[in-house]
Amino acid sequence: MFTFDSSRHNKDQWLEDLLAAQADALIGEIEEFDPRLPSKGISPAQAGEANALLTLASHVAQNLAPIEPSAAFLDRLHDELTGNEVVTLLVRWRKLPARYRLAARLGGLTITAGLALIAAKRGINVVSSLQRREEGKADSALALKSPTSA
Amino acid sequence: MTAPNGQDYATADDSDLVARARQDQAAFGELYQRYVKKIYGYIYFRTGNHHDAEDLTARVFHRALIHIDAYVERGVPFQAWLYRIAHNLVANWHRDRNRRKVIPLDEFVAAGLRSEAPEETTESEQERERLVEAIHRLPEERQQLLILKFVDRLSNQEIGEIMDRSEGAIKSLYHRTLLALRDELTAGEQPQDGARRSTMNQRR
Repeated sequence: MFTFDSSRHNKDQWLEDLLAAQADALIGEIEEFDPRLPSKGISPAQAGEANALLTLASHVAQNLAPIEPSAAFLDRLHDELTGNEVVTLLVRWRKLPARYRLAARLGGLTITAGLALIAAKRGINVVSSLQRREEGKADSALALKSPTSA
Repeated sequence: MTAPNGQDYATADDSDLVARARQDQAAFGELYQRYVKKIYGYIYFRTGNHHDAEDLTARVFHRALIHIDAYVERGVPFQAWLYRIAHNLVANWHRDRNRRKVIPLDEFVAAGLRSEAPEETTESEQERERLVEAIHRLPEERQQLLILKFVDRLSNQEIGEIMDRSEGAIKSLYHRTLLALRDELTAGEQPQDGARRSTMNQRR
């Protein structure tokens, strides 16, 4: 059964205490809750509002039920935190904050693009030098023989 | 969970476990077991889906483990410290995603239904969806209060430690939260009263 908290002084104190007591009863914090309103000093309008809020609170309690995480998640996280999990590169990667992972991905892409450009340039240079060599051979085959002096 | 010297951590209080967790991961494991479901439930209702709830829950405990040496219980019990970490991560999550804290409700509706007759299920789903939508239109601290109270089933004292308020302030906030929720549900029944809803929120 709830009791008024006389240390707090505001005009809605009785209603605040009543609602708080009901909430504790709804979550099992207290076993007994008397929903009766004070018999004196409460207008019909106040009583109506109090009853409406008590009903609403019950509705909220019914619909905000605790949610259980999956057992697999609980076990995996437990092993990570207590050092029981084999620390692989993947685990270390997963532990990084999202912005670090993004920076790492961008850095990797940049390096990859740079290496690809370097490789492409070298490849082009190799092809060009091969082409020049072939052209030189062809040119030398076409050159006129110089006449010998008599 | 047992310490290397055979001590049963299950009976140890949080302060003792925190002190031991600085050297013994098994002690931190006990703290984890005590609070992971509550933290998960809180984050789930703030984010709306299991994937983000798992990710943020993991980050809460990894962060707590990393910073446990710096944690000092000066009026902030370990549980409250965990919730504050969770609150900050959720706030960052909302900011990073540029959301108005309007959460997809499909998982809420599917997860919370109890066994009922088929003809009642649809009405229950609709009612629950209306209620959860209204809750998510409330200011962040009021959502937090309802989740801590009814999902995590915390006392007003515990809620006060998390939100850094007195028990009396929590009772007042709870009263105002119910009034605001009632207004949101009423406004939700009248879709053309957007201006009136805004005025009511300001007044509350």
